[in-house]
Amino acid sequence: MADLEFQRQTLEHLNALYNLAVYLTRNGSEAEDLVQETYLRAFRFSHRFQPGTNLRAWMFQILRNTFLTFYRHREREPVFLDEGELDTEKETMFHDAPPKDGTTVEAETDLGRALAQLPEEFRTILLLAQVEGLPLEEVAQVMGCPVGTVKSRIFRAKERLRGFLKDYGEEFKG
Amino acid sequence: MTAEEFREDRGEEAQFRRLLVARLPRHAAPAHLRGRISALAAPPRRAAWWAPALSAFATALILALVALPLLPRTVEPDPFRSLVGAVLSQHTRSLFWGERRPEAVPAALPRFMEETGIGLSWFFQGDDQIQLINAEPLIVEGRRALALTYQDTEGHTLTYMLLPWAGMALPEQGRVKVDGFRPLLIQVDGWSIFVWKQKGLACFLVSDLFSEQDLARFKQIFLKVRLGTEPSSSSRSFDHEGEGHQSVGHQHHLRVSEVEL
Repeated sequence: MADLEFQRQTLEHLNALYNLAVYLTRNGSEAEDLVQETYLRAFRFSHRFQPGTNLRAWMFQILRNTFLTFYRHREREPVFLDEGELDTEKETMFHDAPPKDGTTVEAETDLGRALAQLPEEFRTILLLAQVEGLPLEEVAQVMGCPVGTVKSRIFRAKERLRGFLKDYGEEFKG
Repeated sequence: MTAEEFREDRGEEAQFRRLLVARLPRHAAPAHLRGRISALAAPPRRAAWWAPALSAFATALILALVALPLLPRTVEPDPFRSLVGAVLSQHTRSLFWGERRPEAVPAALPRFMEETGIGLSWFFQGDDQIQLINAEPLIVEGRRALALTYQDTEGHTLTYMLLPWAGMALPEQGRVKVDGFRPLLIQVDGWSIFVWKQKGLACFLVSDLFSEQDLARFKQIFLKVRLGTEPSSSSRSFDHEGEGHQSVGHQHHLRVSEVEL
């Protein structure tokens, strides 16, 4: 079991981890389970963590791997084709998209829904890089891919978001 | 990329980030989740080495307490009752499977006495009412026994069995007075059994003379057998059961020493 100092340091990232977990699972209860499982694994494998390296990225990495292992099969992912291209015929807009003049839906919710429509690879990268403010190198560590791929996915994620938000009349300049 | 394009790109990047941060709700971890995770981090209480044994013992105790009323009562077996049962079994066996060979008894008896260690100075050979039809060595309840089988004129078969007494107590309840003797009379399942001690031997006389009328006859037969048979002192020490003897008429007993081998 991890020592107390390690545990204290990991708990500093609890809110960030939970926030990402909510956007990944889209379910508060599952998010809690995901985060708890993440910490359980982190404590169990704390000896594998190299002091001096980025603990936050390590924790995010565990959370994402845990999500992919246990939770991803539950959610309805947009069809994600090879090369990261979305199957636009099936997933061009929300299933419950409001009419074009739908101003009743709050923009905040629209953005959240638009984000949820993104493939996990895009969504996680956006959240880590843009919301959590992780450097691209750390995002690349979490995602297990090169930094160039992270940049490419961020760009394409923004394009998708722009396309989704147009359906709601949301202004989003890219 | 020109410097202007780079600035635009950076500006767009910053705008996009601000939009996301501003528009996307940020979810804070609930307090109970923090508590659960803190509990995960707490070192587990080390179980005491005796905990599994204590748990098993407690489980067994509870099961025993629950099952105790349901368990059959284990009553200490009464050796005397067991012996009576075994004697009855031998009697019924001889009824069904016993041979009738009165002519062979005198010749075979000395060998049977030697095999069983139960010596008879003389034995009741029968009279005009009852006839000795067989003798055989037996193992009854792990003891060597000698059985003499009689048959009366009405076809009732009686088994007279002698075996080591081995310190058993003869119950007082059920004793009957037959002349000067006080044998125990047991009547069970249509069988009547006289039991007495004689020279350190347990003696059983079994018959199906069960009714009150038959019982009077059975007592007469008992007297004939009791007085007509004498275990030798060499086989067991003398253990006098009755206070007095009365002679019974028409006794036909035979000294073993007189038997031709």
